[in-house]
Amino acid sequence: MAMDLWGFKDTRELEKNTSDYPETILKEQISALGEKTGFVLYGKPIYMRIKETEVEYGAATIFNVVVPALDDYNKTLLIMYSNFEGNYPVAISVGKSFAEDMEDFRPQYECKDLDSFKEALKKILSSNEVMEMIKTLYSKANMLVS
Amino acid sequence: MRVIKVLFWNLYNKNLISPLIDLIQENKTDVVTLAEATNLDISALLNHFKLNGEDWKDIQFSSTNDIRVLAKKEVNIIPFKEEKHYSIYKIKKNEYVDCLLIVVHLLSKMNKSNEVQYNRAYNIARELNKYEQELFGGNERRTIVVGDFNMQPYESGICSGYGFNATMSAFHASKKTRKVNGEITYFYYNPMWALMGANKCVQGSYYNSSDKDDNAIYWYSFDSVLLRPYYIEKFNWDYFSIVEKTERYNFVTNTIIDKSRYSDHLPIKFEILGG
Repeated sequence: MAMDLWGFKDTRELEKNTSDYPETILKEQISALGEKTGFVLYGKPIYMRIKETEVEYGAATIFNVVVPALDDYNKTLLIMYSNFEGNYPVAISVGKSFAEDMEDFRPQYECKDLDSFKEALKKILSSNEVMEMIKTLYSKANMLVS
Repeated sequence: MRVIKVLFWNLYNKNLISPLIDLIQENKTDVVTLAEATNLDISALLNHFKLNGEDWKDIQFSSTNDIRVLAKKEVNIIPFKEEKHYSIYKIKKNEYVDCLLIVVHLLSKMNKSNEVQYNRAYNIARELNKYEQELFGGNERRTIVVGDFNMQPYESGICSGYGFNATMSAFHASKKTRKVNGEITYFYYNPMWALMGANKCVQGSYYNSSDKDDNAIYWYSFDSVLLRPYYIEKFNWDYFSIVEKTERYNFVTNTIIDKSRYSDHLPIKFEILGG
C-alpha cells in the first residue's frame, strides 16, 4: 500500500480547516446571494492574477452578481485582493473596476485578520450602495420572471 | 448573425441628434454605438424613428459610463456588462451568443500619460479576455471591439501582446493566437491601418495640429474597430470608412474637423457580412 504522508485525510478535513479563510467566507456570501433570492440573482467569482509590481497583492477575486433573467447580465459588486502565500492581509475595493484599481490602488478596506475582514464584508454587503444595486437588479429581473 | 451595419461616434458630449439621424438613415445602420453620449436626447431619437415607421431600442440596463448603444428592433442584442470604460453586449442568434460586441471609451491622453493609458488598456484587455473565455469556452471567439481607444493603432495599448494584441496583418491574425512571454494570447485584426495615411483629406477620426511631442501626425485613428479572426473574411471593405459628411452636414471644413458645430471625432462605420 502506498504511503500517505500528508497532514490531512481528505477534502472534508481540508474544508473544515479552511472555513475561516477569506476565500471561503467570500464564497459563502456568493452562494448565499443565490439562496436568498431564489436564484433570481446569484454570485460568481472571477479570478485575475495581478501583474503590477506596485500592488502588494498577487490575486484579485472579482465578485460579480449575475442576473439569469437578463441573459446573465453581470455587475461587479466588489473585488477582494489577496496573496497566494498567506490568508491575511486582504484588501477590498468597491465601486471600481479591476483596471481602475491596477492604475490607482486605493482599496476602501484593508483587513489584517478574520475579524476585520468579516466586519468589512458585512459593512459592504449591507451598505446603501450595494443594497440599491441588488434591489435594482432584482426588480428588473423579477419583472421578467413573474 | 445576419448582415449587420454598425456605426460608432464619439459625440463630444453634445446632443447631435439631427446629424446622427442622417448618418443612421443614409448608411442604413443597424446598430449605433456611441461614446460621450450622456447629453444625447435618446427618447427624441427613438421617437423620430418610431414616427417614421422604424422600431429602435435603447440597449442599456444600468450604465455607469458615457457609452450608449441603440439598435433596430430586429437585432437581438442585450447588455452583458457595463463598466466605466467599456460595455459588453451579446448579439444572439437562436438563443446562443453569435457575437460579442464590446464598445470602449478608454482613457484620454489629455488626462493621463501614455504609460498609464497603456497599463489601463492592458488590464481592460485582460478583463475582456476573461469574459470571452466564459462565454465562448473552447469555441472560436466571435468578438468585435469598437470605440474610442484614445490611442493610435501602433500604440502599445492596442498592438502589444499584453494589450489588445491587435495587428495590421490579416495573415498573422488568422493564426488566431501567438505566445507572448509563454502565454497564449489571442489576436485581433485591426482594419483601421488600411485607412491611415490614405492619400485623401481625412486620414483619421481625430484631428490635432498641436501634438504634445511636436510629432507631425495631425490625423489620429483614435476610433477603431478590432475583429477576432473569425470576422476577417466577413468584413465588408467596400462599406468600411471614416464618415466625413452626410447630405446635410459636413463634419470637415477647411480640411479639419468642425468640432465647434459637431464632434471633435468623426464617425466610423463597418459592416459584417452574415455568417
